[in-house]
Amino acid sequence: MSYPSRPADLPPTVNCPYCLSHIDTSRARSVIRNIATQEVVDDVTDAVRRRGLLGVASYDRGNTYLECRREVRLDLVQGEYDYPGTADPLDDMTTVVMNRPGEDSPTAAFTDGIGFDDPEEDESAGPSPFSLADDADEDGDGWESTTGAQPSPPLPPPADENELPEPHYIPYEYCQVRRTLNIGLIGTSSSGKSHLLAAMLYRMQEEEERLAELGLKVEPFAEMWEYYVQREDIAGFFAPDRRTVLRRTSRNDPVEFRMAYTVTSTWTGEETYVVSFFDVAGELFLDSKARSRLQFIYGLDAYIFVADGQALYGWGGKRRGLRHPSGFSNVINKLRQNERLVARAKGKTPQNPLPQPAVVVLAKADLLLAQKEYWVSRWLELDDDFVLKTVDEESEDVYVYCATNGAREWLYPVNAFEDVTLHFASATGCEEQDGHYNKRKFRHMRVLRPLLSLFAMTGLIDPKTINHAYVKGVREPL
Amino acid sequence: MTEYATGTPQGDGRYRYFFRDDSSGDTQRVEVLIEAVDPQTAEQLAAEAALAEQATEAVMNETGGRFPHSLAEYVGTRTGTNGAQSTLVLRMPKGRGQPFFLEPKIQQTPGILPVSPKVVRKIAIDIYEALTVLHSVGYVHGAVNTESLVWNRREAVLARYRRMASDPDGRQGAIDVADAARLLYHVAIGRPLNGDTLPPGDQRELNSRLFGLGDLIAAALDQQERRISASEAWARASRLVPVENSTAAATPAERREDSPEEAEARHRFRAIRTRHEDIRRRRYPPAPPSAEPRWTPPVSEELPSRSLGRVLLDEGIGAFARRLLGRIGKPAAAASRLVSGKAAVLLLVIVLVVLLGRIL
Ligand SMILES: Nc1nc2c(ncn2[C@@H]2O[C@H](COP(=O)(O)OP(=O)(O)OP(=O)(O)O)[C@@H](O)[C@H]2O)c(=O)[nH]1
Ligand SMILES: [Mg+2]
Ligand SMILES: [Zn+2]
Repeated sequence: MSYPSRPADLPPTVNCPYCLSHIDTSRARSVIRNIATQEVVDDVTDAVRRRGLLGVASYDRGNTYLECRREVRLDLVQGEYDYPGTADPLDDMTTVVMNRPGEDSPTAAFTDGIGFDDPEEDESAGPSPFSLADDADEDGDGWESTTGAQPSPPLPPPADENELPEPHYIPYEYCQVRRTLNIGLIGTSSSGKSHLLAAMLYRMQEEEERLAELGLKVEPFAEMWEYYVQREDIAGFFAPDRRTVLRRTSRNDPVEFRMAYTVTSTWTGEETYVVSFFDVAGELFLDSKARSRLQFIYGLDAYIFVADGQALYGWGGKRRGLRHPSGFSNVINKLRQNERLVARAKGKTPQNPLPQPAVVVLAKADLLLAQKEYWVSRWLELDDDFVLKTVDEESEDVYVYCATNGAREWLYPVNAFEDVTLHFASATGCEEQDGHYNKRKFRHMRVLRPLLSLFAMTGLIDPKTINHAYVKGVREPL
Repeated sequence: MTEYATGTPQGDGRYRYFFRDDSSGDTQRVEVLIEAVDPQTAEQLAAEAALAEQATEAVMNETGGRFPHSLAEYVGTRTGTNGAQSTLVLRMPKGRGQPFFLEPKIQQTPGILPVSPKVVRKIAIDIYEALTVLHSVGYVHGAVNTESLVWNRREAVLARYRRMASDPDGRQGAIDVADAARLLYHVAIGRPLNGDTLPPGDQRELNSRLFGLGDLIAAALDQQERRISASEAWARASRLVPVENSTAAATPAERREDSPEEAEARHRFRAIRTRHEDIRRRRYPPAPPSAEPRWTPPVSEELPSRSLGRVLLDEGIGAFARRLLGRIGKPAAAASRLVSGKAAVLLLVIVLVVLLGRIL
């Protein structure tokens, strides 16, 4: 099919955040997707070409996507869509071109749905004689569950668990914004990425006023927040009377950002950005076969490295090492190779350290607090998400802690990226038990702080809030 | 059913307190036995028992038999254990876990104070409820303090009637209201209140832990004629809002000294940071001056500006120079003729220097 013109409300090309190709908007299809099933339910290309997004019924605008498929990508070698297969051994790590689509593979129902029961009450009285029994607060602070549980939607998995689904879809409104800030969570399986992200996003919703004091107006992008909290496990995690555990991220989950915000910042002169978050299954980072699914990491503007506090072993005031690797070095090596390759193609010298900011978050730090470890206890219980002047002081302590407790591996990003801060945080405040968290112990500890630090290092807010200088500024539009 | 079923007795040198299952078989309630240790306190206790009986009767009559959870109910007296002279038996709700009188508990484990904001709130509600009820039937308690209060992990119970007195016109009640406020201060802050009024700093501090508590205590300690009543205090107490994480500080405690290994790591980190900052300075050099926000003199546009000579005279050479620069920065039309002249001279000098540079 061919259409004469491109939609008036899109630029001629759009950067795909997933495969990093340039999409020719005069050829790409616009479709409506059912957000629950992820299926394409309608083709609105004609309407959109005529009237832009206004050509779509208002209730469907949030569900309108631009389709990224091989035929509309400008990066492909003229005439053919073959896998380039160059001789460069580095090339397979980093092709800017989308490879080998698996278009006609079958789809199967997603079977990982978990039914959560009501949480077990922790019957034991607290350690203090002044503990207040659960049912004491009769006239209570009455927090009701606001997030109604929805049945877990069946997701059609992509053809090949290693490949980026083909085609894939970019929210139409995302294509319209000129400035984007893509943030990715990096860390091995079960390191706590999804919990940390959920807690961060929740706190973002909560802290409208204090974000405003930093000059930020933050709003969920399109209807993404509604979709995000519709997920059964997310709804249960947020509900004060449930506090269920989030399910592990499937490696078959579509590689799409989990959540995005439009952020207007007075510091950048009232510019509006879309800040989006990528959270994929941790196992992909350790798997060399998954490279096409991991293509998105080369397009990220900022990185959140999630170090698994549970991986530390050894007690008696001293940790001796890590039970499993963090996966940080794999990702950093990939990024460095890509940097070399891209620089060579442009005839420039590769940048070292890498030209993005990163934060290292020592997640699940509640477990270390329980061991009364000095460096953790100095920070974790502070209510300092917005007290950003101490970020560097904290970073030093986290560095010292990791360096002297067998966790040097977590410090790779410090050398690899041009600007890095380190943080102790806990998404839950306590350990999971039988699929739930203890409702009384559950709390988000300092989860917003790493994100705000990243905002300062990307120039979304004034870098002086963390006493840093010389930041690149948010990425310029195409 | 054993006689003293629940837990070890408490004591304060004059009385001993035992808790046991309710003798009437009510599983929702327990009994506290207050035992005098010597003949003198036994006498006082006998008087107290009479007052407790009176109060219980008065409340029963008023409410038609229902008794508030927050007030202990008179059951009877009996001869005590160990040859003690006399024992007063009161009944109260069971709660959860071992109940205790506050004062002996605090003596024993001072670290339990301050208590959490939610518990303070519950104590405030219960104690003012108890006082509201007592006052409404024409009595004052007269001894609201940590010695009179029981906590059962679910609610607070006013459980002594030592100085109870009838107060038909309701004038004495104000003392109870203030005493309860002192008690709340004690458990919320962790030490007794000094003096008769609440210092403003403490009021803010209390509000930051339990929103409204500072204001409630201040109003309950106000001069007697302006002081709130027990029922007003009760209503306010139920509107208190615990502030999340209220005890958490925002800045870390003083750092301990690094071990040699830690000091080395810290040093390494600082070195990396400095190196990276240098790299970033080269990568993202500060924007050229023209793009930076122009410095504007800290002088309000509305005020007539002083002459530069005046500034030099009043504030010295530094202020003069800043002012001069500021004026040069402004649009020429706004600047005075004098300044334009000086700016022109300055420009001329710059041009000459540049020319000279070229020639050489
Ligand atoms: N104690 C504690 N446990 C946590 C915390 N956050 C996550 N966990 C536990 O860590 C496990 C994994 O958490 P996830 O957030 O699903 O980890 P992930 O990195 O997203 O894992 P993948 O999706 O497999 O890559 C879960 O069992 C959580 O209960 C925390 O802050 N404290
Ligand atoms: Mg996950
Ligand atoms: Zn794409």
